Amino acid sequence: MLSDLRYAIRSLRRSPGFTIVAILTLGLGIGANTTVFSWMEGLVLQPLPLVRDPSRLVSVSFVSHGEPNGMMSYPAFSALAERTRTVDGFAAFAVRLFGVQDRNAVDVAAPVGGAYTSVNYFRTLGVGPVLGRTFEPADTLASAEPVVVLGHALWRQRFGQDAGVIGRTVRVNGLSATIIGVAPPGFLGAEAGYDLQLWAPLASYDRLGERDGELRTVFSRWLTVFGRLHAGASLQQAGAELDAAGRQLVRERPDLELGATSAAALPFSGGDAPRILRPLFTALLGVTAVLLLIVCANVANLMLARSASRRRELGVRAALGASRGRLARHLLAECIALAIPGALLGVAFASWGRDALHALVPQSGTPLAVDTPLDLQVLGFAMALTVVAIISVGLAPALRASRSDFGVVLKGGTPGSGVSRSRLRSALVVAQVALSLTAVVSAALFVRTLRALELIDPGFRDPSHVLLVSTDLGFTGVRDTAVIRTTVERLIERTGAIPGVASAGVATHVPMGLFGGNNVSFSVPGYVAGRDEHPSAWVNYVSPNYFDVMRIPVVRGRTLSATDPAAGAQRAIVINETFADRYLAGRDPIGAPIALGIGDTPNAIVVGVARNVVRGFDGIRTLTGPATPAYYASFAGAPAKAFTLHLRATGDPLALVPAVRRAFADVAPGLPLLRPETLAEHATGAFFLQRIGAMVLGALGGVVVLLAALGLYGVTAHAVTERTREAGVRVALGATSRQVMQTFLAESLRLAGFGLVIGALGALAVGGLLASQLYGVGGRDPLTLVGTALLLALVAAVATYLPARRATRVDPVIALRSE
Amino acid sequence: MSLLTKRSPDVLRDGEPGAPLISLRDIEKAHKAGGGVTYVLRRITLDIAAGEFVTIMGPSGAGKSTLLSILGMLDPAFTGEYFFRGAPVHAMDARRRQAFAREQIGFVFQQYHLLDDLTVAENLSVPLDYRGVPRGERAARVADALDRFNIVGKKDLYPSQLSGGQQQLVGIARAVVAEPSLILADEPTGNLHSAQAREIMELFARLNAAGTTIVQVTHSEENAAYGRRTIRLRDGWMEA
Repeated sequence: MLSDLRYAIRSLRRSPGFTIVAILTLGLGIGANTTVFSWMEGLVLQPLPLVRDPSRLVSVSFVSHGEPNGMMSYPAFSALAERTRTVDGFAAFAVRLFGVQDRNAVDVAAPVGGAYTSVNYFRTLGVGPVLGRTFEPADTLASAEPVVVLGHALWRQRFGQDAGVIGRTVRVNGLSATIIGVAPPGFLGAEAGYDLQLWAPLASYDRLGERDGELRTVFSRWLTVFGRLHAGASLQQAGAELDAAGRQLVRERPDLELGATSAAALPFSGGDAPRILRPLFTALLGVTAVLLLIVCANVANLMLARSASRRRELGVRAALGASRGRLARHLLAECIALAIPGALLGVAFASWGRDALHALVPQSGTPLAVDTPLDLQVLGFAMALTVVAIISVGLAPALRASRSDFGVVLKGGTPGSGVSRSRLRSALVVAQVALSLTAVVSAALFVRTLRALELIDPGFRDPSHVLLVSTDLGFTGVRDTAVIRTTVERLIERTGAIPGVASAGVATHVPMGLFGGNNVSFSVPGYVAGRDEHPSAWVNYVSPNYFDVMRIPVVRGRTLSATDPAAGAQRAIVINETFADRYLAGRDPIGAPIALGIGDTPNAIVVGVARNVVRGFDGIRTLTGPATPAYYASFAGAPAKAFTLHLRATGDPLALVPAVRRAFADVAPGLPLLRPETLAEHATGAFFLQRIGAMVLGALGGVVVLLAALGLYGVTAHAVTERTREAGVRVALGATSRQVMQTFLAESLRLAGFGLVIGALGALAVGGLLASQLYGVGGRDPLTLVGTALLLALVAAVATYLPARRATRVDPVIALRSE
Repeated sequence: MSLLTKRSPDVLRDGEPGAPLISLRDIEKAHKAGGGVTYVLRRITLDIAAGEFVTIMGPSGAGKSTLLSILGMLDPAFTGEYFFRGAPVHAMDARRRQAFAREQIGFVFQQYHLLDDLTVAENLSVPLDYRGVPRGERAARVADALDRFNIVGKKDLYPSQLSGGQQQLVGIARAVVAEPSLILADEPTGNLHSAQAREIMELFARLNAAGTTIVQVTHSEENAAYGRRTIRLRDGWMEA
């Protein structure tokens, strides 16, 4: 085989054009598939690296109205954990952002993604430390000092991979904590898609956390709870046991999970990321599979043309004694000689592709883990796919050539192309054109969707002149509400005075981000809720001039002012249009009393109605569907440690960042600036899925069109070469150049036409599948289909015209003599 | 055994002493054309003894190359009987026929048909490789062939670097390196000028004198004179 490979390489070097094109197209096909498969594997299929046997993990949740609640409160978690046997240890965690400084707190706190966890978190996941230990019951005692486990990357980057880090202290959220262990490399926690590098016990939440009393209250559902199935237990058994335990618990403790009727065990998927990304990545994988098909069809066409010239060689080898198997080995060697550099090039493309994903996914809050490794499994998958594809498309037609009439070889004649080989090449070109149309139409639908989404009125104006700077006072240990209030007021004042800043304000939530914010139950005196209706609204705590900074129109009443009561019965709130229309219909909303939270006693009063603003991203319906009820309350009335500074700039907002940084250093030394960006940049994060779809499909669509064009060019060029004699005869009989060219053009365009018809059917089918992810355009939009088909027809015409023109230059004397 | 060592034409490795090497009985080949059948060969019956030098002649379209293809076991689509060393080739399946041909037959082509991507030495090695000869022995036999045909100095050259006559010389060396029972030559001098042609035919004569059975197809009477017997074909029939 080595000698066959050597000869194959030697042979390919004599055909540099064919070899380069084949390797490049293979690299593209392999690279695209490898990239998407690595995303899929890292974020959807195996999203929890290093977790032992994740299929044995179950997610635990209370059930209300037949639907799982998702998260649960700490008291509910503790109560349920005591009552199960089939789940081996309940564990809980909550993802948070921590501010980490060195022990002397002289540096700016670095935001580090992490989680508060129960004691048995690491044990339940089956993950052990590489240094030190994980949590023990003693760490949960009230008298215990805060302890933390570091992530391996954090240990490497910030602590120099020092083995002596165990027992050292570090400042976490302004408090001293002892490092007790280091997690293994690659372990990122139990929430897929997040880069978690620090873990602290739940017991230390009150001291390190952001909300006092959250650990004890039943009203705050903030923990993700999971467990590992006991050996021999099934998911069904665990589900039945939890259902029974949940029913009993809600009977005994109805206050524990309001509205819950039972509990459930579900497969542990690793969070929201797999659920959100699965449909997109599946669609992308489908597209890249189509690309690979087209690539293989292209390479197959090239190899078919090549096999025509190798027919003589194969015939001679057979005459010299080569068996069919031996001939197959010769051809296989050539396939491998193309596949290996193609695969290497594909890996290089895939490395670039992984970085592209990083750039496409918006950062919001806790750092996201999108470093999907190019592991052996992914590479092996891509390589195997390629080899199988090449063998199936390259070997079969070539073996057919090896069965050719050896009398042709003995007579020394020029082997013809053979009717069956031409048919196969034509079929491949038709397939390429069809697949191209399907892929490009899909891409066009996503592009149109993206355009339509970008035109959605977000509710605020001129976002490109608003600078957003997020921060968290908890990173530096600030917890006192008075201190928070004062610090925020000083920050607003200080940054508002920066030259170039027209106005400054704060809010706890920024619209159109990746995540939605807080939801608060409420009731309206005089409004009777339906039987299963539980009114709730999203709340944004804002400074008084927020509406001015964001240019959100207040359509009735007024905005919040600095003199408004921030608490008590007269606490002022501004509601959105949906809130007013749904719950205050038929009356003047201004002055309406509202009971926020649990209970019916009004504790707020409406002072204004603001235009609806697109809240946050949770699927395309959040962007395009009706706005959900929301209200704005004074930040001063409920000061939060985490907030976002909003600065409306007269010029380029990003030019203000250095001055803002100085302001932060003056007002709150050590306080970090997180993710400075314009509101416009932030808003694009809301449709990042559609953006990824449009960009990736658009790029792939461009590539497949190029490959289909190459295929058409090749078929036409080959036909011209094969039928040189015919062209000469036609000219000798009086045909004009135009007539000769039209003969070849007509044939190739006929193939393209077949391909477009088949492709149109494919596009209609695929469009139906994509419909749920589209906006502003239907999955079977005729304009998109016809426009794309016309574009491809034009490309086909150009691709066939160029080689067909060669036929007009055939000298009939030379053409007839050459036979 | 040396490639040019004389061996007795009458002593066969197997089969009956004195029995022909090749025996054809009523060989016919036809293919469908339009609504009917076109015959390429009609009732070809002949014997070729071991050590013979037979020439097949005839006008274009007479069926010479077709007959050569059948003799060379490259074309199984015929009727009639074909015995080689007493073995019924007509009854063999494709795999067995291929293996049998690999052992018994060497080809020399009009257009040389050397493999362009291989050097002279590598071209000579190909038939031995296909016969499963171990690497070491292959190298030795190739070296021997290069020496016998006086082309040692050209062993690392590619076919494109050789003249027509040199390429045909290599083609003949390749045909005999595996010591086949039969050499089939299809217009071996068709692309050579007369001086080169004479050299090639002299070589064939020497090979035949050493005991190699040769069947050639040619248009040249001069080349035919090197053979011991001439079979003439016309319109697929053997002329009496």
